[in-house]
Amino acid sequence: MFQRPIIVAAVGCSMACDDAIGLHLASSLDDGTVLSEAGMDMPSGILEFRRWEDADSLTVAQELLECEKPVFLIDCANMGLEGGASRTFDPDSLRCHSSSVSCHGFGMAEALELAATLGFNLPVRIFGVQPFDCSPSLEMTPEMMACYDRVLLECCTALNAFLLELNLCASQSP
Amino acid sequence: MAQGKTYSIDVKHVTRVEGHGRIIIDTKEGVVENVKLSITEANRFFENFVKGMKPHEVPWIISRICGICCVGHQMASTMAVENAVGIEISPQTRLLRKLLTESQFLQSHVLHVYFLAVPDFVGAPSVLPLAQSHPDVVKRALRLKKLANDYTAVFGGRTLHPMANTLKGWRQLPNLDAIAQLRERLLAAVPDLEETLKIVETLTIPPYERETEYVSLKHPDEYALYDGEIYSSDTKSTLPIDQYLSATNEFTVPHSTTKWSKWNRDSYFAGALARVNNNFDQLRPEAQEAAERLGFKAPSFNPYMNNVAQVIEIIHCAYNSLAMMDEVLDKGLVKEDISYTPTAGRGVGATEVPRGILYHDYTFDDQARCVAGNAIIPTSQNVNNIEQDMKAFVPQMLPKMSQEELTLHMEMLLRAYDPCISCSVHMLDVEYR
Repeated sequence: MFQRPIIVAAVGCSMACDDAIGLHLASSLDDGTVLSEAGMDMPSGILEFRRWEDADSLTVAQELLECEKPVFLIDCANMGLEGGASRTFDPDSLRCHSSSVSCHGFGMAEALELAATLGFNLPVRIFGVQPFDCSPSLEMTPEMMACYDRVLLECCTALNAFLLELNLCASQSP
Repeated sequence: MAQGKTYSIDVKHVTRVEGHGRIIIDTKEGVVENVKLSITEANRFFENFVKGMKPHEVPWIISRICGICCVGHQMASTMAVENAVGIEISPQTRLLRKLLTESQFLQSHVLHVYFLAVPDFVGAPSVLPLAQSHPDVVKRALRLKKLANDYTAVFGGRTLHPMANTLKGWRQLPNLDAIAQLRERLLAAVPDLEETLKIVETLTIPPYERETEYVSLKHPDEYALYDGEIYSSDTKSTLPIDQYLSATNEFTVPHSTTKWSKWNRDSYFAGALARVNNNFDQLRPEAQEAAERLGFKAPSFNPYMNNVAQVIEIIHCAYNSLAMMDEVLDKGLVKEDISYTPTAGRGVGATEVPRGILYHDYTFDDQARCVAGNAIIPTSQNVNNIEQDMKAFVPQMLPKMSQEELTLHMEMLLRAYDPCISCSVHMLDVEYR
């Protein structure tokens, strides 16, 4: 247990409303009290927090290649769910488009595939949150703020499950 | 043999470009009957978004038009607004803007050359299979791309849509320690640049030429990227940027929602090839040496060589950036007064972006509110020339290529121009009833 740290990486844009949800969730997790309240006591240093703010897909691929650690990635994601809903993904479940119509279509799935092809073979888990709105704004929507505590708890649960899978966490349930 | 070749090529979605373009070719019994580059993206309304805005707000809004050339749109619009309200910038601000500009060239050219163009030359449908067949190449590309992104962030405050630049200067100056670290990383990337040259040396460029008019900015003292006057290879003379409408002469065609341009001929070429052709002697020595290694001899009339010209500019920008960073580190940076008095007026800005000259033009009323805006981007200048190239090359290619080869070469031709199709679709004005 606690043999090596993992990266908790936040992706998103702090100036695009709910697109910043990953950045906010990671900041909350970085405050140890949140994890402690969720029953996830762990020595400091087990989680390394990174802000990959505004990172394009190619940069995400490069960051993965550089980090050489398991990654728990938190991002806003359009998943066709109700706003504020969350879902945890394994990279294998994402559909990669090898010949997108334009490079606008080169997204997270392609970034993960590219990194994997280039030798990044460590576990990755993606925690996605469905936005209500991604219009330019420094604030998240009131709807997202209203469900923030619930989403944060779901994020803790997903992180805990990932740590258990990696045999890195003492807690069985957050 | 061309004789008997009757088919229709319809590439409805050309991949690995910014935005969506369609190539249509019809041949009948070996005769080319129809060649069209069709752009059917919806119009953009950014020139109307900025109406009613204050002068300093315009560059921040208008630069959102593009996620690739956001720096260039910010530079051109800032320059235009400054000219409109009578602001002159300091040498420090000009230097910082040149650095920010070159960071964008590195970002964009690395993206285009490695991720969009190179797969064509090695027979890969996209960068993903390329990563399997040439992992070291793609790893190098990712390193260079991230370095270029970080370069923009150091000088502009953000990787994408930087906010540090404003009218007259910088809202928050770059950190000198960060510049020093960036300089070391850029210096450490020289081996990656060398490997880039080695890769490009091995590529076989299709040998098709069509002489056209090459239009770029020209500056008396330096390789023009940030500013200059409009230069034509036909007239071998320059035009002040406020006369840009005489150089662009926009018009419409039925099969394209983007406007087309022409100047002294039916069409002209803007972009890396035009710049390197027109300003070769002002390239840094390292870039001129790279050109020689890559078999580039100015002027080149081969549009496929635009990719090679982009690599030459990568070398130029890398070494020029090192020199400019040294200048910043030697002189230091001083906080400057960026207050200004909003006034009425009209101003034009023109800067080179990776794909060619970008023009912005704004008018402010007595309340210093924007009442008119116009942006002419390089792709809307180039689409006409791309179609003219296609019309010239298809009859040459038809006798010796299969339908699949011809299709690939047409897609490669379009990609060679590195078109930003989404941004090329504009309307100058919208009338709401």
